[in-house]
Amino acid sequence: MTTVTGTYYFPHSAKSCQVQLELDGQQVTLVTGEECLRTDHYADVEFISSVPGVNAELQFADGGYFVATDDTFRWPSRGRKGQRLSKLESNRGVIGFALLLTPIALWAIYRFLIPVMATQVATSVPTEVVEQVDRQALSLLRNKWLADSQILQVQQTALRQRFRQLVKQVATNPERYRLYLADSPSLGANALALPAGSVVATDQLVQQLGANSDELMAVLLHEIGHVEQQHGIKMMAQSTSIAIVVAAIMGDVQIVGDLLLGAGTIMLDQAFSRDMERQADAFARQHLAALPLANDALSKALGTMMAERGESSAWTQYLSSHPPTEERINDANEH
Amino acid sequence: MQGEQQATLPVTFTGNSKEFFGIWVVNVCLSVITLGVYSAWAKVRTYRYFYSHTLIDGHCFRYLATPMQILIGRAIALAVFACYLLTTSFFAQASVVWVGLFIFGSPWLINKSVGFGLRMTSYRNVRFNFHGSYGDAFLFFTALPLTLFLTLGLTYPWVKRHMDGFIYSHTSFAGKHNDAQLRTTEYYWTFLVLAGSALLMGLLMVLLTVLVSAVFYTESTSVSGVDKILPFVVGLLFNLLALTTLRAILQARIRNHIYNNSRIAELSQFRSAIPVHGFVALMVTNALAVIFSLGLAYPWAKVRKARYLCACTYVLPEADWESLQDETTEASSALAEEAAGLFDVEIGLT
Repeated sequence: MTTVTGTYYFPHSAKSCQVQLELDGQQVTLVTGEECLRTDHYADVEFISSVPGVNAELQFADGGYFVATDDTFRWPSRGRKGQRLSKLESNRGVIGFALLLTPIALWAIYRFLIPVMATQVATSVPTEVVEQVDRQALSLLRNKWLADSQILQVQQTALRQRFRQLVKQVATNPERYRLYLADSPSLGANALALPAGSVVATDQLVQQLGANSDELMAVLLHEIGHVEQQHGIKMMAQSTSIAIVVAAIMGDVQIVGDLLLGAGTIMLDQAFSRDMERQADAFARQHLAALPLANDALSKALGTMMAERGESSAWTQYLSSHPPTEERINDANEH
Repeated sequence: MQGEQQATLPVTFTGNSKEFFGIWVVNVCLSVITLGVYSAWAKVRTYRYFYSHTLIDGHCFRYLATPMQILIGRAIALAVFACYLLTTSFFAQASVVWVGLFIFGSPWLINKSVGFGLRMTSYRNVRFNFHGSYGDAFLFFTALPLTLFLTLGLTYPWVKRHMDGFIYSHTSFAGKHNDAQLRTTEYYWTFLVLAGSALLMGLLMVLLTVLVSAVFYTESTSVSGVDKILPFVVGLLFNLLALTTLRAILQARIRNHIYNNSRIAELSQFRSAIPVHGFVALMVTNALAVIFSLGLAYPWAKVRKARYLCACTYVLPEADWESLQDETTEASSALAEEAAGLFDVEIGLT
């Protein structure tokens, strides 16, 4: 028989008294002084699972409640099931192990689980939805950053023809591709791909690389790579799942501050983005080798753009959406 | 405990950071490897730890929610959150529907989440309860905030006073309602102090920027790029600390005001005497400790804050508490509280 002292609260009442609780393996008996207060079968009481440092508690079916005075006391036998967690939480070895495992697990989720989920989502999103996203993004870009192209009409037509030819040679579904030329002083020499196959190239890019150059084709190949590998939709799925995972795991943690959390999420998103840029580069590289274009066109294009723009330093890489240009040029040259 | 005027009862916190560190680390780890499922258990265990270590007159508080209640609520909230993210990223027009849902759903959500939190809190085997109506919640949390657009936010202290008043005046314990007599002037003073502090810190930031750029542009060392990332990091840190400072000022002043003007008739009055400077110092050092320990100091910071808040709080009983009866019967869903947490409209009762 186990005996423990504590406070008993009467059902639905603030009235309490000091009691002696006795457990005999089947029944719980409360005794105050000489008087027996109540006797209950184990089936009618709940031994509340313990938390380290929280006194053992017992809930009676009618609303009565007992709390032990000694904070080290733990329920024997029946209550043991609820003590496993408590044991883990106060075991130094387990705490140390958890301390190591947590960052590893977080990294694994981020590195493996989320990309797999994103790919799954990307392949199951219906084409109409992708086209809808594409249209919306394009109209947004037009409103904010893109103006009508200043390039001569003849040159535009020639460029579109080259693009069409390029797409026919490398894309699985050439019909979905469209080339948009636009003047954009704010974006500068830039090209971007939208998920359904709209590829935007700025006048500034065309002027910098030359309308007839292989370099321009290499950049367009890179953008086609983004579309072929469904990067747009994957990116959206990844950002969404990162936001959800962060919300689910960090739900209760407020002290870190929204700012820090926001910065962390952005850095994770950007890392995904850099991976995708590498994949698009690889796509362009592969096809350059097979096409009647100069093999070093991509590295030349990147070199020209870097010279024009200047390159960010080592530290800021973690905030950048693209890998360092030097690394990209080296990769492009290796093949 | 007899007679009308009793001695002041202190609120004490008996938890310690070493013990809570173990609970926290194991719970975070389990939450991560179960992809968030365990976080419901983690929440209940954390709450139980903090509640049971908060004592008045030798009796502790209790957190009554079960992990399942939290888990189900969280799952539904998460599903809605995912729907929101997906639909709005694919269809811009969907946000109109969500705005509508938000406007008419949030009063309900606020009532449910505040109510759930209170009903799951018990002291001496008696539960707290909440009686806010949908209409009032709509008025104070949806209608009044509309004045912010018309006045460029100038009415915010007045709106916040009404939001707080709504929550604290509809809180009850043992069937006895709290009466919170809040003053609009106190809220305006508080926001004036906040504006002044923000201005001061803004000036400090400018000064700091000038100083940092002066140092780093004279001896230009662009080898590792530290010159580019450092201003960014310093800026982020400064913003974070500034935000922490403002939050601490707000919390200290408003909590003092609410507690000092609350009275549950025939039960008790409350006193909160948080020194603003002391609390700011505590919160800023907490934030620094958490950041520079990469989060590991979080349990220590949380325990330290709880201890500080309890030490600044007193209860003035007006009657014999032994005779109180629990008058709550209905069960409540955790959904609303969880949804409110995820959509960041959660209202803390600290």
